[in-house]
Amino acid sequence: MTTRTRPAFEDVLDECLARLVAGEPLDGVLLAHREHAVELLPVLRAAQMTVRAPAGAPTPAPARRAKALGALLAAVDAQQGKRERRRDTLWGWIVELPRRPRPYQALAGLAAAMIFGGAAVGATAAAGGSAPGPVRDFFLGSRFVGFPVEVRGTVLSLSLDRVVVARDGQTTEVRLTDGTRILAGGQVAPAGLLQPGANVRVEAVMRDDALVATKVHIEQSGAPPASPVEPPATSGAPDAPSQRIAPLFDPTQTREGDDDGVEPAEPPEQHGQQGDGDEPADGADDHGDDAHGVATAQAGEPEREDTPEAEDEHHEDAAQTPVASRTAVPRTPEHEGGGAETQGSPD
Amino acid sequence: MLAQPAPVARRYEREDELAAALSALEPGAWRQLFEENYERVYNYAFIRTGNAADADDIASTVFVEAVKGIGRYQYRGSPVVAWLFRIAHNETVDVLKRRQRTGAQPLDAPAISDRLRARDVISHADERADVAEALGRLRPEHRDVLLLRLVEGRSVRDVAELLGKTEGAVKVLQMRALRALKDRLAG
Repeated sequence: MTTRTRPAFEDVLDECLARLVAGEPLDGVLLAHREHAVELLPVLRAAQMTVRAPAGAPTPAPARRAKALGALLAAVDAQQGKRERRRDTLWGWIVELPRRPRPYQALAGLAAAMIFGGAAVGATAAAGGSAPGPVRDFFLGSRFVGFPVEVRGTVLSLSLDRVVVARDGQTTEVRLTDGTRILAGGQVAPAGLLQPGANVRVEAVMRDDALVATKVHIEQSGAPPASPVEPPATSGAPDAPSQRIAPLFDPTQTREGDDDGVEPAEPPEQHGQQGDGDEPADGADDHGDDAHGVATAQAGEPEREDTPEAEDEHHEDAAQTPVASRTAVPRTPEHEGGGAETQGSPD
Repeated sequence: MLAQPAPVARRYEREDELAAALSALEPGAWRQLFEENYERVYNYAFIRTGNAADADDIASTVFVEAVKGIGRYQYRGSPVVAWLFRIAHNETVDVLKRRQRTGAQPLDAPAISDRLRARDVISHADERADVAEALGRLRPEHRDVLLLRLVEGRSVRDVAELLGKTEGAVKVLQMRALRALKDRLAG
């Protein structure tokens, strides 16, 4: 019974308080709730005294009030100056962005998109402009077509996460992600085997605009380091598979890949015929490789002892990082390891 | 030369406009906030501390702290003044704690001189001074809810937002607070 009446009394009391605060006399408030009048009277009397209590507070002295207003406006000024100083820096402007009106935020987003988009387009154009034809084909082929692409050359420099391959006086920087496999003679090779001077064929397998595998085939281990300035002797034959960058799927090169025991990916039509269209591009190769005891390189199945973090990082790389990145820095011998450049064009 | 008429300060009627202007550090908006709330903050502080000097300090500090903290403030539909009173509450608690630490004055008990001064300016002196004293002896959450609801005239919803409680909880709290106040006054 008590539990039923108590909530009702709370609501009644609240209504009475609202009327008291609004200035209604206590008698009138009680009359409106006669059924609770006995219970309400003492608490409403206390409430009424409280409502009138502020009248007992001294009025703040005008001088103190003016001083407080002055302090407030000075604080506003100081805060404005602080904010403007912060705005002078790009970082400060970015930090302030969430507090800016939406049009500013939209403009900032647009500017960021233009900057990054422009940089990407510029880099692509620069790459295309400095090395016409094959480079663009390579890029477009890897970006928009699910064909295997590859680059051949001599290892110019090597670091933990990238290898610079030189050919025809130009360099290509290839990122080595966790999914990258180094193969020699169709077998997974220890990383130490990949050294400057080695002739390599870097194979990227793209599918659905994403890198699904990277393989670095060491074609001649222990070969003397090739001068990055002097191109290999085969540079005069543009159609030779060992020299040119395959822009599109080339059955000849697929056969060549067989020599290593690792077949490059097949075009989608062939996958359809083999009924493994859901597999990665080199899924068919896996069977062959397994038969030879060779592990293939699939970005989604790293065979190294990767930490979970490394795997995550790898997935990200696989999804977002093209196999080769290019910059427009002309390669000189001093640029070893640093001056990644446009891909070599078949002269 | 004709004197240029002083520009009429814009008045912010809507809460969201006021909040945006405060965030943008527009002096007019801050002046409006001050004009509308200084006395209320002062009264709140005075009733809480029972000391006019403390109330002066708190009322001044609250607005300065509000300016400093406006960068973190985000308008989410509740009145700006609710945020202001939260600062006032914190400042008052700080003053009371400081007072307790130093032992200069007993916590929540108005100084005799202040009480006397308060009585001097209260038209219904005894009764209202007793109320102030009784309020000072209530549990903090009881006192807060009564001050906000009855002295500040805030709605239950506002009080709920201020205290981080549900409206139902505020109704229960104010009922218990009034009963406690009634007992204090009777005692």
